[in-house]
Amino acid sequence: MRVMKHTPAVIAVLLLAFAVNCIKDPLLTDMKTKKLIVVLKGTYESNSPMEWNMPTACAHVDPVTNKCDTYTPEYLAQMQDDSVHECNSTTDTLPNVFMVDLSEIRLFDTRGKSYKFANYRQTFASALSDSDPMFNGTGYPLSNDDVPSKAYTAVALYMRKMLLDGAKSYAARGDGWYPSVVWDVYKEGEYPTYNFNALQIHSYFDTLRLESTSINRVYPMVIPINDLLTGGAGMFYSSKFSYTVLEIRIVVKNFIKKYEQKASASSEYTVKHFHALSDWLNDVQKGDAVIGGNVLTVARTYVPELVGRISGTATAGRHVIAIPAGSSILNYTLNVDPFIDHSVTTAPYRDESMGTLRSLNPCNLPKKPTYYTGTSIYRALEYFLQYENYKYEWNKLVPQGTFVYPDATQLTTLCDSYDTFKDQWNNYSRETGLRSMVLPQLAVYVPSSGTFSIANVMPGSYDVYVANRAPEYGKLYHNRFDHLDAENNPVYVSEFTFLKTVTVSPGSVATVP
Amino acid sequence: MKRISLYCAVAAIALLASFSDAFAYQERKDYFSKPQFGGWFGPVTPVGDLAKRVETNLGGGAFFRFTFPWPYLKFGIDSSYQKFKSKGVNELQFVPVFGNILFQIPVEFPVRFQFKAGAGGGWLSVKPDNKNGWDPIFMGGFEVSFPAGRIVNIGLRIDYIYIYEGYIKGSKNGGHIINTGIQLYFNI
Repeated sequence: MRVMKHTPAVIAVLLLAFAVNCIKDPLLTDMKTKKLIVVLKGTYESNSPMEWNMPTACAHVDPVTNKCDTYTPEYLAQMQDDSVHECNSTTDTLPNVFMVDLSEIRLFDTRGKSYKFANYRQTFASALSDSDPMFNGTGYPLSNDDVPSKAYTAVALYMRKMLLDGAKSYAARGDGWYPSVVWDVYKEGEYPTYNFNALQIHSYFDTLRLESTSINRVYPMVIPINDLLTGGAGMFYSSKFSYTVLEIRIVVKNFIKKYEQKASASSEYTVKHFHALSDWLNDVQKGDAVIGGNVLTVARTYVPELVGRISGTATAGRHVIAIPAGSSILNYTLNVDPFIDHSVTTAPYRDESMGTLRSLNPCNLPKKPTYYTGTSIYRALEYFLQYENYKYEWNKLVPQGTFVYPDATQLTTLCDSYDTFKDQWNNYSRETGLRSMVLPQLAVYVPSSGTFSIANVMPGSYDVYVANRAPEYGKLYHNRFDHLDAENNPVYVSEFTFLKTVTVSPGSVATVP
Repeated sequence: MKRISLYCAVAAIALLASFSDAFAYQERKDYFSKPQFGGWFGPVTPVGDLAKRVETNLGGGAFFRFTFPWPYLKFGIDSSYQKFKSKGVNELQFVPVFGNILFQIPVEFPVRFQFKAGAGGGWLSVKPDNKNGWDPIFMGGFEVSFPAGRIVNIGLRIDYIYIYEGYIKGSKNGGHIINTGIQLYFNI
């Protein structure tokens, strides 16, 4: 019994001594320490972005009404989408603030298992200015926890809302269009903004597909991580490094356009003008109720203690990009003529001026008008007229129609069956999908000095390219068919010119050229 | 978790009420001085900085005690399993093993009030870092016990456990955990 009486004290002392000697890492501090830094940027460039270049909206102000009565040609060409066709009011103004409401972020590992490492709701309101962290190349750090050390193939953003201000609703009355400001909710408050995230749906062809009810391309927004370190397979995260940065970029800067939408419920004839991301990739056309497929994103990771830098000189006012050595530059540009088999024929030759990918698709059938659910007899009659017109346009193409390209050449492949329809839209989908056209992970804008520096470059070999034209507002870069080689294979050219292959090692600066 | 605590309290009172002689203190005083063993379960709650990373959960454990020559002082050995989850990827598993001294208020009540303090070691496993190891821990607590016959005791307990990491290089904080629970233990 005497021995038993001392046993607990002995055990306590032994455990204490054992515990003190045994541990090496401060586990609770490790649990609290954040080693994975997630940064959100709103630029095409990974650092040194180009300045905001939104075209001025108003060309002339009426001295009597003190309102704008004419838009500038640049505004009409670059900012105003061709979906704006009914309301010709000239009182729209440029947006000033971009707002994001992010419900959570997840990472997916190589087996597809998701990791809820940042399920904190976060909101960001960014001024559309060159000094805002969203647009100056710095980025906003997000709230998140660490993840287990392993490889991750993709990051998924759960965007509740993306909003831009400057949206207006126009009611048609006898003496013109009557504007009223559109209000939306951001961070539990009402602001004069419009949430365009709700329209990020590909419904102009998804609705005809079998899996249409399960298609959800925007919630979450899945962004593959094509890091060089893993051979393009994803991000390798290890808690052994002090920090790992996961950089997520959404192209917003110089990539905003104005669209038009018709209200389908109000008794008055009403259209809405709102701002959203450019439809450079997935064209928005007249009468479209959705604007899906146009949130262009890229993600990459780097470990600050391992990075180097690529510096050099290039033509001022151009984009310089660095891609993994040996990879095709065509992957970083959009093919403008995917519907033509150039190994069979060299004609017709396409370029971007002839139309967008969607308008070149022979199965770009007219869209059924949205049902009118209001009480106005005039609006109801107009809906029936639109419906008749829709049937007329449809019958022109299906089944015996001929697709005529803008250069007057005719396409022999008709959209005469659902199989053809499916093939053509799958073709389209392949071209505009996640893996076929990716944004470069490393990109900078060359300032007027002509010297550039790509920062935070992970070790490896890179091919450095410079764009052979200045950036255009609301557009990225293309490639197109150039000629057939000796073996009759099509050769494509992009809007980038190769500069040099460089090898970056930790702490080093690789120079170009 | 407040609701779980309430349920525990109600269950304890209901159980007590079912023993008609639960308050026959005088006759059973000596039985309480015998060696005891038992178990507990209830909400385990991270406090302070730890509460920002993981959330309250249910935990449980077992203990063994025997009395000093002086009847109001006991030695005890206590261990439990506590798993704290979060809405995200953070997770903490904690197995404290400690010795403690229990002091019973030397006033004759139908129920017994005991204060306790002790020290020992705790095994920790944290996610997402996937690391584990032992840390020294210190604890203090309070118990209320109701005798239910010669053998059975029913009690409510509240323990505070401090996980000490201050001696490790790079440590910025320790851990604070509060265990509350209902316990059932036996005089042997």
